[in-house]
Amino acid sequence: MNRPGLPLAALAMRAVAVGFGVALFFEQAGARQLLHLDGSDSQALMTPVYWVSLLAPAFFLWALWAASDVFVRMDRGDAFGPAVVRGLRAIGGNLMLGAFCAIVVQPSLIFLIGNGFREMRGVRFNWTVENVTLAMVGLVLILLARQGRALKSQLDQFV
Amino acid sequence: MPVRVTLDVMLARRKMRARDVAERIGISETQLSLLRTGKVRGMRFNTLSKLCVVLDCVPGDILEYDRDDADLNAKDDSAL
Repeated sequence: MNRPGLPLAALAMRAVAVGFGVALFFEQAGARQLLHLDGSDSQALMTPVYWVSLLAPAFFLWALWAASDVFVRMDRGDAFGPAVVRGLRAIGGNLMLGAFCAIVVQPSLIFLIGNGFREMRGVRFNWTVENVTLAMVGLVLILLARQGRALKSQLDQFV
Repeated sequence: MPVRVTLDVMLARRKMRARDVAERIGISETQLSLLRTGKVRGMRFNTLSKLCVVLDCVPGDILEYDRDDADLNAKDDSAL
């Protein structure tokens, strides 16, 4: 990880991503253990809920990691080159996927797991300002990456 | 395009090869070839000044403009 030339911002971002990942794992694992202590029949249900609850944060952490890659590329002067564009799209895509998971996938799956897959009807939503904002930011990043690539290709036509 | 690059003329006058010029101004032969054939959208001032130094000329020696009043109404093609 301590590659020469890795910019400080990228290094900090990777450290934050790893730190958040570890913290998230222990936080969720701790919550799971606490729920197991009550001895109810919810124990058996907790493992899938645990994994499902990690879906959205995993995508957000992946976006953070992709952001650190973009910092590295930009540090090398590869402004809006193919790698940076790919990185920005990865950030945007992961933010959107994470938000989608948080809004639709997680509530629906947790509902299904909660009733033991007996009631398969309907989709559950969890509309929160944070998730919708993250999805929008992701979309904007993807569009910006596309715009940047077009600008770069136009700039490359100047000798 | 009404602005024409007359680099070929200057190269012939100075008896210089495109390869040498490209090497001296720090662009690829392909880029210089595109420039000579007018297949580029534009030329950076930086490149222009280097060309002027190497060819010992002024910008007017390698660029020509054929007047066309329709240029005033030409659409800006930089819009994406």
